[in-house]
Amino acid sequence: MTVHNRVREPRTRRLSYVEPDLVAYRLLNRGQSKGLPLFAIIVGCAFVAAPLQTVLAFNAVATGLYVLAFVYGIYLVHRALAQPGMIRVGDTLARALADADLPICTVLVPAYREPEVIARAIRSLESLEYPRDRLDIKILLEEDDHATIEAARRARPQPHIELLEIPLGLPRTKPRACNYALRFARGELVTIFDVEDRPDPLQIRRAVAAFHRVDRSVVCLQAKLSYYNARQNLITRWLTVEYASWFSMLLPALAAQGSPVPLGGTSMYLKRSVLEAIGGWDAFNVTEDADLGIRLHRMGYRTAVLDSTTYEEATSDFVNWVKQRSRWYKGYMQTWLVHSRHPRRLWQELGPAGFLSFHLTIGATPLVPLINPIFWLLTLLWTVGHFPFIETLFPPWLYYPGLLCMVFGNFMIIYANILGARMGGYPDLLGAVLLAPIYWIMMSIAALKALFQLIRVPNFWEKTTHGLDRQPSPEVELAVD
Amino acid sequence: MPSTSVLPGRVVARPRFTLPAVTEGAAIFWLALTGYLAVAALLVFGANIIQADALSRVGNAEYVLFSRDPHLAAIGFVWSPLPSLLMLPLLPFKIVFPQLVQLGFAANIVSAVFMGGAVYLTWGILNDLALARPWRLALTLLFALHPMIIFYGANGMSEALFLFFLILAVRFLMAWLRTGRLEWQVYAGLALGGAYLCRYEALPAGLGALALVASVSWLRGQANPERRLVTALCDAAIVGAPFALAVAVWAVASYIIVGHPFEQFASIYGNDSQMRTLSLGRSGADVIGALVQVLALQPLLTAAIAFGALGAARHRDLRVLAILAVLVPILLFAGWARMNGTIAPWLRYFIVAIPLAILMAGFALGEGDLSETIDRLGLRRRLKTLLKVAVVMSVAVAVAAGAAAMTDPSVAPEEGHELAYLTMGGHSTADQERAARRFVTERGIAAYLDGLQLPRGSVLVDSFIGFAIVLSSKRPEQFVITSDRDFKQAIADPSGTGVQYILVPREIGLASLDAINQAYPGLYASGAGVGHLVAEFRNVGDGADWRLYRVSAG
Repeated sequence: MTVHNRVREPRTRRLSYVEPDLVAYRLLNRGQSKGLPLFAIIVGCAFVAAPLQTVLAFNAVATGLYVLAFVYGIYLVHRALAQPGMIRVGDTLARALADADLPICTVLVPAYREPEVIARAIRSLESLEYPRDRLDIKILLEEDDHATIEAARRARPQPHIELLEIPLGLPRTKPRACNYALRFARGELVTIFDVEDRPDPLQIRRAVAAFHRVDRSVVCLQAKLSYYNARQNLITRWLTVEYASWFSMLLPALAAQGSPVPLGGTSMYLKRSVLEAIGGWDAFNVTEDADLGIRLHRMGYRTAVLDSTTYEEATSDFVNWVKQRSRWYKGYMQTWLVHSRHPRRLWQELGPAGFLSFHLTIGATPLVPLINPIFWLLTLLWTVGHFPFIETLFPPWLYYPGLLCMVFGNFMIIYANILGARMGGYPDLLGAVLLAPIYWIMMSIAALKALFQLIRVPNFWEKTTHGLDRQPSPEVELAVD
Repeated sequence: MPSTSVLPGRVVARPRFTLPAVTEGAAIFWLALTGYLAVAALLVFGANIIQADALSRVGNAEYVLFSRDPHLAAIGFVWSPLPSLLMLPLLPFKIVFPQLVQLGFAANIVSAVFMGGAVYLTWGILNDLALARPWRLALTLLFALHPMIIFYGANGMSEALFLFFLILAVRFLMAWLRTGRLEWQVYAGLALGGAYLCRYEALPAGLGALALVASVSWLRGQANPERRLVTALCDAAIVGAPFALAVAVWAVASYIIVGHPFEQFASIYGNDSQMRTLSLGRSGADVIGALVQVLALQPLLTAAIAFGALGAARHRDLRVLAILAVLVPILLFAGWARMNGTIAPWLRYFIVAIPLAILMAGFALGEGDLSETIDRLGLRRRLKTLLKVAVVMSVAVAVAAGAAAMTDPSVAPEEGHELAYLTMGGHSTADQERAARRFVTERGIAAYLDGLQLPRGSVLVDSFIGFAIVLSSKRPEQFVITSDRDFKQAIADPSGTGVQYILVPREIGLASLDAINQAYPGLYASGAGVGHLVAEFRNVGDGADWRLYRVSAG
């Protein structure tokens, strides 16, 4: 059993056979790997020939990006306010579905090096309110992860919960494991839960009911994610506000508008037939969920948001947070690079609005934290020293838009987060929102790390440590309606 | 079109021309707008009634674009920026219509548009209250045709914008009280922020709205008692944040550019300074004076409020609180400031009484509340209509009262003179005649200076007093004005900065705050060794006398 054989395992890399250019196996395709150095050379020559104009051009592009993001943000928030856009299935309706009418649902639970929490995860899965013969729960364990396998066996899972051992292979990522498991999946619907997740017990029923309600083109329902240790410390508060804004406000707005919807990592309910047809997950992308969402949209399928919450564990430790966030940014950069490979095709498949939305949600998300420190530094220098070179960098046609973005753009972000916190049921996190500028600095640190990792080890999946929530059997801190 | 012919497929009747469907609200807006524009044209072109404050705001916008030193900060920090900012897009059209700037008509256009909007919003609120059409239109008309509203819709002052944003905030808050939706909180906050950028008096309105949102949110939070307080706080923050942003941004910009966050109070051109100079200080008569002014605008204001509150209470309609929370604090603040002597005795500070009365009357007329009371008392149905008419009359009488008040200078010191002149024609007093000839002399001064064909930056004048001259001139770049970044330098060393002439007003009243008079106290009287007298202009209107001094070389 050599590692070499497993890498070529077609079931884990099925996407590369369906759509080779949509796989992040290589970070840059041929066109990109030629175009990027060419672009760098042009910029270098321009900088030598006319340094001020080149810098002004970069400033103009960056300012243009900020203005675009600002306007788009206002538009999304406006839409979110007007029409929440979530599909809501009440408890009675969810329970009213007859067992015979329920489809089989495959639940994949990837676990790697989680011996402490695997038992809790199994208990949590057993509390799902869904007929056991219609559930196809697979806990995905890496072949060489003996500690977790042992711990899982000792927890004596019920018969409908299967422990599936994933053969060794590269890259060792969650989507690779899920792709492998997909070939054994029996269900009509497929979903993923993380090991520490606490899903709403009626969630699968709600998803089934919702699928009856939506258009045929909707093949994916993304449930809301939140954190059960929301108020543990400042970092968890920031994370909770972010998730609340994203899942309660922005994602439904994107979905309602028909824009591409980057999925969350868990609790998305996909139709298995469609998932297999489009090639499963990209094993090489560290945010395979975002990538899947874009790919679904490109192929003409749609995603809607389900009003049901899965509670995850928010990382409460700074170092762990940086690891997780840099992985997210790296993944978004990968996703952006992969899907930008054939721009004209992307334009045709997404439409102009979707094209713009893709660049602003996937492309701008890691890019903006990278550029921010430059402008913060310039602003700081100007406030402290009024250096004349800064004045030359900001002629009036750049200065006023930049000022607008700095004042009103930042206000809008903070305000949108207050709205998101309120919509998601966390009004008491107002204080954390107001401290957001510190969080932005942290995001820039993570973005820088992501850039380095992108260049050096693009497919490396930096694992987040779980079980840091310091509570033996915590009560779920439910959100307020 | 369905065929009405016996022959299949043949259409017999086909209208050749169909009017687009005009909704009632759109019609109201356009009628109001055209009406106010027409009145504006009459006032400005026909009767030479131009408000100094309005022209001054056109000036602020003009200095941003077309002065000798165009820059955005020239918008000025003593008054709120939004009125002038909204005029900026109109100014380039002065090439075709110089009167936009010379007579300040740009301000009149902006105020007409926004007062039309305020009328439309009032109609909208009355519509939200589900008033029957006759009453809805009656109250809207009584608002739109109130002489004070007509005048301030037409005369270019910022009250029109102020009322627009306030009524907009009221409408959004009413929607929030009825539906509890987050979007109405957001837009109410934005409207209040907009109101603040028009006039500082929005501050009490904003505080009132915050108190309302916080308390209602707290009262509604019974489902989750442990999160009640923070939910109320968060809801208040959502409404308050845009408002706080407007205050903060304006204060910080002011601090960065002119060195003080609240120029309104600190600046020598600001309200405090003007009040001290004009000695319009406190006196016991001011309390009465304030009351008289409020009642002059809406004699049966208390009746309207009482009726409205009763009507809302019977129906358990919380929406009345939106009107009271936003508009009443402004009136209270204006009254208190008058008593203190902090603000001048201008009638327009109480203009908010008019929409307050109209909207409260709207509550009184809502179906089902007054009717229930009447039915319960066993009165006949005819009496119901009679009572409704009584409510409307209580507002209608304001139209006559307002007209009377506005032409009486003892009640309306600011506009009384020129309006009285307008209505009385031949039997006018000296004060009224001077008001009617406002800015005539200033235009003459501008024409004289234009005739001299002077180079850039050769005439030094403080635009705080001399704005009419600068705006009437065809060559605004010949002036060195207050908003120019080298103004202080030019005052200190006129000949060194290329200034050849100094225009200085006689130091009476506000003209004593003129920067040049402050720097060279004897200049007007005798030249103070700075220059020699070239020309003197006695003002035929109610402005200052001017003298033109030629700067001595060296």
